[in-house]
Amino acid sequence: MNYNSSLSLPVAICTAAILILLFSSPAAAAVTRVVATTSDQCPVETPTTICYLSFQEAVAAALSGDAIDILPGTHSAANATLSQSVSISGSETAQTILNGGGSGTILTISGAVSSLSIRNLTFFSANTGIAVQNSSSVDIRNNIFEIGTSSTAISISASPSTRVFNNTFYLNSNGIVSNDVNLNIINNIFNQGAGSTAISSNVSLLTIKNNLFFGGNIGPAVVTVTIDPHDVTVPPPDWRGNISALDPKFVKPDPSDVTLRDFHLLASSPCITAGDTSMGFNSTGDTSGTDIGAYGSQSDRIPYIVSVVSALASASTGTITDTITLSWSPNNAYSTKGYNVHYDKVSGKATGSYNGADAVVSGVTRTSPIDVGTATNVILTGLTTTAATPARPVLSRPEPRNEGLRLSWSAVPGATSYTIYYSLASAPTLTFPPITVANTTSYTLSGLVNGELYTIAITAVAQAPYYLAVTAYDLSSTAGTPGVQDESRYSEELKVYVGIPGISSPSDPVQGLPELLVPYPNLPNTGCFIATAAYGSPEAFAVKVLREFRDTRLLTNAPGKSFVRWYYEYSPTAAHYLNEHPALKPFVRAALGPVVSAALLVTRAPHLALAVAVMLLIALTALLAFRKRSLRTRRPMGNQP
Amino acid sequence: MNVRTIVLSLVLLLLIPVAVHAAEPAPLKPHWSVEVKGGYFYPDIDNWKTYYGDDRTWHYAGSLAYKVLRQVELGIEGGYIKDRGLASAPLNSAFFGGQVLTGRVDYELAPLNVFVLIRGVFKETQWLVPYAGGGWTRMYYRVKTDGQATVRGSVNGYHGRAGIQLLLDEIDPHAAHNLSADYGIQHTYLFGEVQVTHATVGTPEVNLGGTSYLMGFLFEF
Repeated sequence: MNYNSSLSLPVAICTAAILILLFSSPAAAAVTRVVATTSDQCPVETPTTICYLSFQEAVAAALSGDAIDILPGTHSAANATLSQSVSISGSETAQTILNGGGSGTILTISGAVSSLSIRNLTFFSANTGIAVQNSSSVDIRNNIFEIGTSSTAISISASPSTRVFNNTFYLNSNGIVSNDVNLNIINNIFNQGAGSTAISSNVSLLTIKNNLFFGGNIGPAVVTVTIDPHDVTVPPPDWRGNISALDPKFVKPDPSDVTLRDFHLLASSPCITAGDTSMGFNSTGDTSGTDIGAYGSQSDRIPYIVSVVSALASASTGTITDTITLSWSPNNAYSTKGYNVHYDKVSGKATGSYNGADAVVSGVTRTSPIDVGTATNVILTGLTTTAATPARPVLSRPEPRNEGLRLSWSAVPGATSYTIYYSLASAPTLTFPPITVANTTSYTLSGLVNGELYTIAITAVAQAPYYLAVTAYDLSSTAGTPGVQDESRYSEELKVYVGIPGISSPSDPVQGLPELLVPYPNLPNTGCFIATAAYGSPEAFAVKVLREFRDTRLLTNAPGKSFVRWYYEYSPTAAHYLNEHPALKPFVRAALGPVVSAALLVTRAPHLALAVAVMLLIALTALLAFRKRSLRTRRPMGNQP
Repeated sequence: MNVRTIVLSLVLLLLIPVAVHAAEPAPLKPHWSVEVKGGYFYPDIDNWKTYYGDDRTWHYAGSLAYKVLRQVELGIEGGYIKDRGLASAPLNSAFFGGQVLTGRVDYELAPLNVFVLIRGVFKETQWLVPYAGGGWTRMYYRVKTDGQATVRGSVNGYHGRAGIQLLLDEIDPHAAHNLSADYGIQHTYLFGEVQVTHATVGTPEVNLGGTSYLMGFLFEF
């Protein structure tokens, strides 16, 4: 080897390397395409994380190797077509909903696409949920299909090695329609309606095992074993382990709102550990096996959100509220192991976490979150915050009402409620029991005496809020991360006021004078026509009684309303006649006396009225019986047969 | 040209029938008519604006009439008038001074009219038809004041009306033909009307009536 030749080889290699580097394009990095319902939900974008507000746009932009991550929410998702090897997954199966709007196909996978997966999604309302065409090795797993009672959840054609496993099909017309022999249907729940078909195929499918069929028609003549799902004695071996005619026992499949449906399994479900473990063991629940359905195998690890949370503030001693009793509806999924209570003095919505540290539970100070085990309520005590004193409100002069006063005042920043003090103006202090009203700026004092002068003042009250939320967790030993893993998202946040209130100094007192208002024009009321004519005034006591009887007893039911209509039609004529012949008024008053008495009894003492009515009925019955018997005894003997 | 000449010319103009092709069949002379109308009602009550914020309110009505002759019709009409305002508080006014108006008042009138109309129509294709008439009114009223018993009643009265109808058939003959074929409506008029109602109640007397300026459509069938 001479000098030149020994030099030329490294140079050639370097040159080739440089040329390769220069002319070969760099491999594109895989991109995670996040689909959110609002821009607030989007993560910070980077070159490898891009956020979309449309599922269709994310699918259209995706390249092979990308991942589409769909955040919780209901996404409008009709007619998206995927022709790249892209994995699509939802953050939380129950809460990540692709809504097809009742028509079209939500997602079509078409054209030599291979090795992709679609998981942890709820497909809702379309003609077809997923259509797989001319592709291979597509995995459809851990999804829920509620496409519609005249629709098809999954349609497969010319797509070998497609695997449909650990899905829940609920009340679809067709669960799976396929003409591809190499189809694997494993660990699915087909909960179908009458007349529907779980699997519709004109060829003999490769594998149909460990599925549960409940309602409707199964389709192929699969082996169903209801007693021992692992019975392998009946051929063919790949059509075994299926269960039929057993209710899968979902936690809550029926709410009309799709976002409130929970397809986790109750403890009594036949699907628990009845699945084929070749799909992997459960990530939650009983990890010794695989459940059938959307929450078996490697499902999402987020328990269903805790609902119907309520809180009540009270005072353990004295009048200062220092205790919150929190309760919620149980999460009945068998995989739920307990609950965490989260609390803080600031809203967790803003910070994403709750960091309270002063609540006492059963005598022990507990920082947030508080693990309460399987209990569905907890009492937090020792909440002794002190609120700042709010500014003094300005009370306007009250507007008069009939036996009342309409109060209005200026809003005070920081006030959480107001207290109204009042009394007759002649009293030296505001002696009537104070009234606490919510955080509003107006209130009508009622039950006052017309023509009496009242003095009123108001104070603003501020109390410190506590913010509370509850989560469910699915591991008994360690808490998870809410909404991410092993712990549900936070429940609805509750805001409860406790602690020592800050109370402003009273407003300047104002005076108010309730009175009967005079509408304009002030027209005569010809309501109780006959009684008004008979008693001479619409304000007569008897007329008022009859009016009250009309309003509270007659106008509250259909027969009463009919009577009032009839009376209003004919009585003005009678009233006119009565006014023309005043000599008749005493007789009419006498005739109305029992009616007024009965009305008084019914309106003021209904129980006594009932007793009197029953006694009168008994007396009348007895009288009739007595008369009948006395007539029979008086009848001449000769008349008898 | 003096005023009398102008008025006379206008009247003659109104009564001139439009030209009709001799080949066309003579239009039918329908007996029944329905009208729907709406407009402003100006109550004949002093200081209305003080209590209700405006000196007028909406008035809606509908009627059914039978034409004894083409020039004479008898009819019945139902209407609805509503306004919302404030009540007065005389005790507070006296005690605190000034006029205290407060509390919501819903004032409703439902006039029921039976009427006779004379129409200046001499040809079925006459473009403009003046009319005038009047009749008996039964005025139903209801006044609801915040937190107080509802006041209601009714009173007899009378009313007069006059207006002018514009025949729409000739503007869009195709639509007119369709209305006739599909619904049996022979003529459609757009009309404007002034209605004066008088119905007093109470002591001192309050006239619940007033003057209404209405526009609407009239369908003859």
